[in-house]
Amino acid sequence: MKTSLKDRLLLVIKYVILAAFTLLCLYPIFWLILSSFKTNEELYTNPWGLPAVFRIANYAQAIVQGHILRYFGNSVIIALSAVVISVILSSMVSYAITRMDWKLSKLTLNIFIIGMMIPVYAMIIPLFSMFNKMGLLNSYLSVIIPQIAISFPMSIFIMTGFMGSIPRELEEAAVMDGCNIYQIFWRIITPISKSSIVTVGVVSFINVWNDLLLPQIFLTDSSKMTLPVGLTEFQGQYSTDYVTMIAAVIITIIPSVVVYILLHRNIMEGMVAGAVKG
Amino acid sequence: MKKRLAALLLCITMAAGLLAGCGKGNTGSQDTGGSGSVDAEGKKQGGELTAMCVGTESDTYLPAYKAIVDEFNKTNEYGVTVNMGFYENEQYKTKLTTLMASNAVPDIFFTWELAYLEPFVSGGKVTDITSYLEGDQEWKNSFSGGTLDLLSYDDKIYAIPTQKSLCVMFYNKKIFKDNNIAVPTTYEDFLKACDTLKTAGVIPMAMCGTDAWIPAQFVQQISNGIAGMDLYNGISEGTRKWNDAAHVEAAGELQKMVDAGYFQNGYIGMSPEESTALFTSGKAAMYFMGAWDSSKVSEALKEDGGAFILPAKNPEYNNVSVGSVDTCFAVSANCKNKDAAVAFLKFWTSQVNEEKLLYDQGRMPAGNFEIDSSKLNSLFAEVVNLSKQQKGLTPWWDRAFGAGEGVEFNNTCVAVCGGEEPQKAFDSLQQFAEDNADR
Amino acid sequence: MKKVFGNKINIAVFVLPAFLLYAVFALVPIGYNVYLSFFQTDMMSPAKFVGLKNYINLFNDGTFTRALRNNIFMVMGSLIAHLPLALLFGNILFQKIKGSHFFQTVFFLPCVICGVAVGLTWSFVYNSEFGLLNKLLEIIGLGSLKQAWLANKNLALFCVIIVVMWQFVGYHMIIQIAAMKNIPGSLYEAAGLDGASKWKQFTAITFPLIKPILKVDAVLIITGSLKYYDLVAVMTGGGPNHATELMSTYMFYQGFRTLKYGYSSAIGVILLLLCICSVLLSNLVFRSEAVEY
Repeated sequence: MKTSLKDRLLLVIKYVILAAFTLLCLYPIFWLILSSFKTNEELYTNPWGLPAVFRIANYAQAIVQGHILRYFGNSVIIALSAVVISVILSSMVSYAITRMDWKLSKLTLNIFIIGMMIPVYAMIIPLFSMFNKMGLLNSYLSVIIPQIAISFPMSIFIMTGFMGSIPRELEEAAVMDGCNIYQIFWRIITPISKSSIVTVGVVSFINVWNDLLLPQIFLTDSSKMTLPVGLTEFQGQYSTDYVTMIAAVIITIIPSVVVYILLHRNIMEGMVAGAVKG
Repeated sequence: MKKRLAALLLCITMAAGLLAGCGKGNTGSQDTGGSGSVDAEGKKQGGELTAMCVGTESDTYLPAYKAIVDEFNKTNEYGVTVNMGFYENEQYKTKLTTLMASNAVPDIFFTWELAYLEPFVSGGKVTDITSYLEGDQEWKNSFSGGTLDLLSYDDKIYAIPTQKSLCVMFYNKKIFKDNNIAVPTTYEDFLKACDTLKTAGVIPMAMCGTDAWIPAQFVQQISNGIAGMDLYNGISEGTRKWNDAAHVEAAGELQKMVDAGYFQNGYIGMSPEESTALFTSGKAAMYFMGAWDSSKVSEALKEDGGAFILPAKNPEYNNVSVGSVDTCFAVSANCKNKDAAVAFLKFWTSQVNEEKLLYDQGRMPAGNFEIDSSKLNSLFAEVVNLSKQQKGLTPWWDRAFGAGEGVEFNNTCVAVCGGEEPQKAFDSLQQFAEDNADR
Repeated sequence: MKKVFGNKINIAVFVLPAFLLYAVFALVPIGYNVYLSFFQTDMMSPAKFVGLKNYINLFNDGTFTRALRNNIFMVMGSLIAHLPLALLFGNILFQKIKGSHFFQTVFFLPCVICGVAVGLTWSFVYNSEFGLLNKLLEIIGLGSLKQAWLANKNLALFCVIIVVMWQFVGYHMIIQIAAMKNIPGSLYEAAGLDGASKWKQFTAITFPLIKPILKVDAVLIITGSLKYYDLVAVMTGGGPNHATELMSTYMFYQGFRTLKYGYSSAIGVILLLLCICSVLLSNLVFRSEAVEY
């Protein structure tokens, strides 16, 4: 394949554009990491350069005084429970919708999918009042339950898309072998759907982990708060201690970034899969 | 409306009370810590009382607050442990509202007076503590005259103040001296001083624009100096409007100061802590704030910290300042151990603790005991002195009117800072007030 | 077969747990929200039925109409910022270019980071004292432009939109790349043989074939922009003087700060209606014939 001068020039331009945006994406994060090792004075006088000493004092401060680890633990509890329940229930529904014979399956799917355009704001005050009456406010459940409900539309959308494409023969063979529906679901469908399950799980995890609104309203006790709420709390308490705040931000984004680096294929596919099939 | 009238009355009596408080010798010590005068049958039942208060790590008085809590926990006869959490001002307001609606208010909570507490009282979320105060006249009488009225609704008392406060102009004596500026006694002098400082390359005033109440209290102070107590009373009673000429004029003055560059660059995007830091680090010469920041100022500037009252534009209204009670505490309606909670309030407002907060932290007490000026550092003494000179105090609008007009007044002032035409801005505030009546 | 896959009990076991959860905690609240919006209530004293008054008041409320305008501006801004840029990146990266996967991964990264952290990070970038933006302007000799970006009522919303763009361009890019991958390669081979230029290939093949996805993407952008909350809550809190107030932040304020839950619910209903309308509208605008490869 020969390349003309024009093509090569075009290629250079493309790479310049790509490199520029790469820099824009990564530099702020890189800058945060560097700044998290600086003192406040250094941040003012030398925002660009390396810190004079790589000090971890800011992290210690964020953990000890900012209780970042406690928030971290709460986030883990809430995100993991919400994701596990959501994945199990939505894969069951998806299976029933795509593989079982019942008249209302199409309608059920549509009811779930409509939820994708519902803004959570249209349900936050009723939820507040409901949880209030149920005595669930300020408990992990008050965040976990709505997070699960909110995650259904997207999860079911993605999984029905995948499960619809599994060949019938597998199940038919299983029925011949005398498997019941539960065995088929656990032993055959779940393993095959592993990739879409991981995708749905990871996407829900990121959504729950990053959410501010629900925990901000439903969790008032600072011992139960999640990281995003903890960060805003921290911003209020130490609004001039920038470097500690930066350290806290780094601790917050690490899990998402690590999960992303490990599973970026699933995440990228998952977060767009629904859209593309729609 | 009756309440607001009471409010303004109390302001006047309060100023008088401050004066009187210093003349009268009230030596009766009220260390209720272990006196048990609360309730003869106070049992040792232990348990925990939750409490919530406004405060951030940059508030130098926070350790003193915590010390009071610790002391109470060690000595109280109920064997209860008070567990007090501190939250930043804006977050506190959201949190308290949420907790109120969900019936999960802590046993003891920080509150502001007047309209702030009102919806919670009418919602039945706050304990009526009148009987406790009536049962202990000594305690009741220890509060400066009129202060409890600010926290009374339908003649019942729902909270107690622990402090009084008023807005003062803190200034850096060294910067003033270096630039040959005397403490201004007229409004013109004040502007001249700003001008001199500006020319000399010093930031005349540190201001914060992200918390709208900060520019707003400045506008309120200027308007007090234009129209006096009448303005506050008139608006409270509904006889004057929000777009009163005095407000428009005061906002215009603020705008002139903005245009003249009397505030630091970028003030409008700075958090309170950032702007305070400009003053306490000696980069700005003046700083208009509630007297509660005295301890922060004196800790940073030591002997260089001073304070004066912004001279009135209309000299006959000198010494009509923005001020009220401060750091009030209430007991929630679903508190399980109200006796112990009230005992905590009593302990906090005991003379010993009020003195501690006054002499160490410059927190002006709500109690009317005699102040020993010799124990005050120079700044605290100046502030106490200033408070004695006040002819009238007007509570902050956002406390008097709460989250509706009060907060919108604050936003209007920020809009004026941002260049909006004052008449127009206050016209729309008036419009808002009329529309808001039935939302 | 029918016995296994058509068993009503089995179906119920699979469907009901999720459906009940969804109905009780997503569908019921929406109905309840509409109901609440006809009342004046602070959730402490008894609620008072006020009919449509909350809605009438909303449209007389300068702050709300401002929030609505800001939201619409945000939608427009996001559409303009996202679609073409994502299409540009998508088109570059879809072609066989070295490092394509790396770039895709990097561009997508910001959208997995929590909004609060992103908001804080960018408020550091915009900070008037040590912010990177001001320092950068200083270095390139434009020091006169230095300012408190998020405090400027004319620029603050724009600054927020930039951050939104930073965070989500990669997301929309990946959506479009995924669509491009579905286009059969044979089409491009044929076009290449005919000597069609890359641009011609884009306009004649890529663009028409991904149009349905662009429609979906536009819906996502619009509904997404109506839902922003955390970025604004952290960066500006809706200030200065409501310049960046969005319906979401205003709703939060009216409900959880001033105790006007009915009024706040009405804002929620309007947000819901806007989301539904935008879906319907983009269906109309992007109406496209069925695509056949």
